[in-house]
Amino acid sequence: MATLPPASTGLLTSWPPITVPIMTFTLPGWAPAPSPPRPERWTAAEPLFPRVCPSTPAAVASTAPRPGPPPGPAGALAAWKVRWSRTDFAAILNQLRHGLFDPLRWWRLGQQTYEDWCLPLPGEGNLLVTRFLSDRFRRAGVVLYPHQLATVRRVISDLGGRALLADEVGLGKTIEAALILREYQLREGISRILILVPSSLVWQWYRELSDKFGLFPVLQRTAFDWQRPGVILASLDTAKRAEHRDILESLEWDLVIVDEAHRLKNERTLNWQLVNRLRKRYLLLLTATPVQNDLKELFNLVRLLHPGGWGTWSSFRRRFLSPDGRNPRDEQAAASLQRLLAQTMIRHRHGPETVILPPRHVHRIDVHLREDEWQLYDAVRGWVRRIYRERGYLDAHVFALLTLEREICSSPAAAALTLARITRTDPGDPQVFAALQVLLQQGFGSKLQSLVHLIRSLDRQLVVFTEYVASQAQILSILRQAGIAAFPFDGSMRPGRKEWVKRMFEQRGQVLVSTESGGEGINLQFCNTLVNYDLPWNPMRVEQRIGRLHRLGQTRPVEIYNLVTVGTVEEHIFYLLHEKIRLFENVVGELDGILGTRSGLEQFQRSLFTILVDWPGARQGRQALDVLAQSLLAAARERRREPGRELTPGLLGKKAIPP
Amino acid sequence: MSSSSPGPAARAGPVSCPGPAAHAGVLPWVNWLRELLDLLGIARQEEEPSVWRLTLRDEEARLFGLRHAQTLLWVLDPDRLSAYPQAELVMPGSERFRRLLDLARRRSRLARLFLPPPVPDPHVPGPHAGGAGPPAGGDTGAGDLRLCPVAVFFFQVERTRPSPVQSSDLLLDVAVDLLSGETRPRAWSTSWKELPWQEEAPPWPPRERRRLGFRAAFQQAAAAARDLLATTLLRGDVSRFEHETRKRQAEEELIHAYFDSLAREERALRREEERRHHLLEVDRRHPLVLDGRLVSLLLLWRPLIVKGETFPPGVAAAVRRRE
Repeated sequence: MATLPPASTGLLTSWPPITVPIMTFTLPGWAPAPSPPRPERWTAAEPLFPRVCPSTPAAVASTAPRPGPPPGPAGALAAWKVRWSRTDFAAILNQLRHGLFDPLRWWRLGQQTYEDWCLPLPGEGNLLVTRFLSDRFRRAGVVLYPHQLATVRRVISDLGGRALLADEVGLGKTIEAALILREYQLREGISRILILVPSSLVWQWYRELSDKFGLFPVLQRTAFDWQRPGVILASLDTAKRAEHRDILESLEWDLVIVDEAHRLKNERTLNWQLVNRLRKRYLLLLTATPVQNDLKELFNLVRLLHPGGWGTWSSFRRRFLSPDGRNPRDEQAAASLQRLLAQTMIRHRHGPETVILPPRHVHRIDVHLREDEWQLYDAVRGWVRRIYRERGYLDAHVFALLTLEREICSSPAAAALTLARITRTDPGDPQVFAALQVLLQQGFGSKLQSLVHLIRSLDRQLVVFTEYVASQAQILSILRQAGIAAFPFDGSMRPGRKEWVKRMFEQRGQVLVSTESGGEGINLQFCNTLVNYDLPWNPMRVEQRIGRLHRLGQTRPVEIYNLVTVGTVEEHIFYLLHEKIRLFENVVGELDGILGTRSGLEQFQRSLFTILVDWPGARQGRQALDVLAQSLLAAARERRREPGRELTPGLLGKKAIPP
Repeated sequence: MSSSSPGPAARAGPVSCPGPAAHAGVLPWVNWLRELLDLLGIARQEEEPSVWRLTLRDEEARLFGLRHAQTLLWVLDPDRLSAYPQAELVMPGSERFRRLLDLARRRSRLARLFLPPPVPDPHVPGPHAGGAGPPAGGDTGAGDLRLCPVAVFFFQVERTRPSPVQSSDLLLDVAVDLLSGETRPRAWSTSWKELPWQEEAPPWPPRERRRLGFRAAFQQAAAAARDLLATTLLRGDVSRFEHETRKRQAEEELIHAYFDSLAREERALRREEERRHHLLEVDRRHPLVLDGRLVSLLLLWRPLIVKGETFPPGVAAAVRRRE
């Protein structure tokens, strides 16, 4: 050791006198393998300004109101803390211990990585997701609409990642949510994302995220899956089960997305309580109907996003609502409420400022039954009426016979299966058996021949919908015989198989023959022609069929061909749906609220069946159908006037929110 | 003593790297990418200014998470992607670019530089000035010229995020003299980096042994960095911090007000747990915490007269001139 005199002089600056050991800095000559990365270790966070703010208690520990920061720049920073990572120092120290110095050229390169140019800094209105995923969107055929991008910008920059996305049906809420997810991933690297959807939509979400966004979410199957990193996709019903709920509540989530969030409208349900208790940073609630009955539903949704944002229910009610608690108290209250809502909810409606879907063109193709087909149809119709007269009311047996009547309009094969089932309990009508036997020996019916003729004349890609699996098999059979590339699509297929068939149809097929259940959730915007081989008598099912093609992303008019067997029950159904309800031209609006419920649908079906069975004659029958249609439309109009429903155009805005 | 980074860069061992000016008119990150690929020894063919074809050998492929040698096509401009649908977009913000940044950072955490003395080695007899032959051991009589160690710690300070993808809110450097323990914030960035540092150790003068341990030096540096951070932030635009603070405060007050009201309205219900839960959510959403991490360490060896000032005439004069 040598003691230096006080007058020591440094070359760079003057340094104080020190005692130094006169030894060279020795380093070991061996180079061990680099140590594996260690988990991050942090020092406790310390106040950035210990003197200005000597003790800032953790916000989470205190329930007392926090004092506001003192004025001035130091005041703004007084609450801030700084903490240091020890992990990197440990790694560097280890490297130093072994003398593993990096070359200067590398070191300079590394220093440059902290320059500003390495940051993809988005401007105020710029989104990273459009920049980095533009090519993927182009390849996947995703067209982003201005209202979707506006939603993403608003959620990120104004709403702090907590929002109620309440666009009307068909405006792409799923796309908006996925865009927000990807934007946060790009900006902040969020890694724990939970998506809760109704079980029927799990695969649809999976396909949307994987095909369009390159995200391959983990489909939750076991309790272990909740802990996996990345995007977890699960059904809300599974998540709320006790064995999963505890795990979910113990985990930290960067982003939680809940689709069909109107299921969270009641605070007493397990659904609401689960989402409320999740430890989440950002939250997106997706629903097209944030208000179904009264404003408390909306209040409960907002409470999940911003607890206390609208005060307590009683204070909210006192301040804004009429004594019945369902409507805003007056115009001023409605305006205030709308302003409040705009801080939480984004709602776009169909219109020029969002999306106008291309028109629908409806075509009727008349099918005339052959003589032998008429014999069977007449025999079944006589049987139905005889049974109905004997019993005097509609029961399951009469319903089954009515189904048989409709199936004959579809295909004899479909009727044969139902007939076999009916004869287990009913000896049946010998005339029916005889006529059916003749028909089955004849081969393909006249409707199938009409279909082949139609497909040949159209000569384009199209989707054929039928209600019956037996009819589907016959359609496929005749199309293949005619040399037309056709693919089946039904509910018995596994999701992977469905996806494969969809792609095959898109790339090589001319016809996709789908049953009702098979078509659920599938998006076929690349095709613009649909054939209703037979017609379901639930209008919502017809709308769902059309909705597969007539949705966001469809750029051409949608052509709808209906094969209608003249003089049968099918013609009456077509009359009701097309000429009275104008179902094919108009997107179902309020009918959804009536026929979407079990009781509403049952009531409608019972009325329709009664008319069909009673069918006194062409003129009286039509009149009865007119009355049914009028009552249905009147119910829809009435529903629109209901207090809760009125809130949608009134409170939620005639225009998009924000305008 | 060994310089340890494997690969072509270590073999080439160049001291200086071309700056962004080397390719005038090109974005800095493109130059940076070129330099990185050169250091990794990866052959590239620039088919267009923004379309590169990379040929990876087995060992290079592993750096990219690939098993075997193969060719990669990179497009550096999103507008050119449509012409090369099979290519990968590489630019700031992309996953590949982020990984390359990480790679560069991992390989540049520790470096050592020497500042050669302004005079030649007096031990080596020769015609040059100062080669008069001082006593053995570098002792120049009353004065003694030595190389003394200084550790420069580079801290990155950023807003707390779940997993920072890209951020460099602040890069602070703090030098700690490993002999005296004195700290000098910003010494490197303001002046020292302009000095003619070299990578190779000069044969003369001998080196002093450090007196201060690296752990202690790190603690000192972290403390100095905290002070430096506070000063720097105060000098800059604090409106962002102010906005964040007030936003958080407003949300917390809202939650307190809400649960206090609930407690008055629903006396029977205990909602403290729920209140805590929502406050925690606010804390996660608006953390008023800055994360500091050491990103690299530079070990400097600088010449220093450690005993008196009696040098051979040429040495002392040259030392003073440089000073």
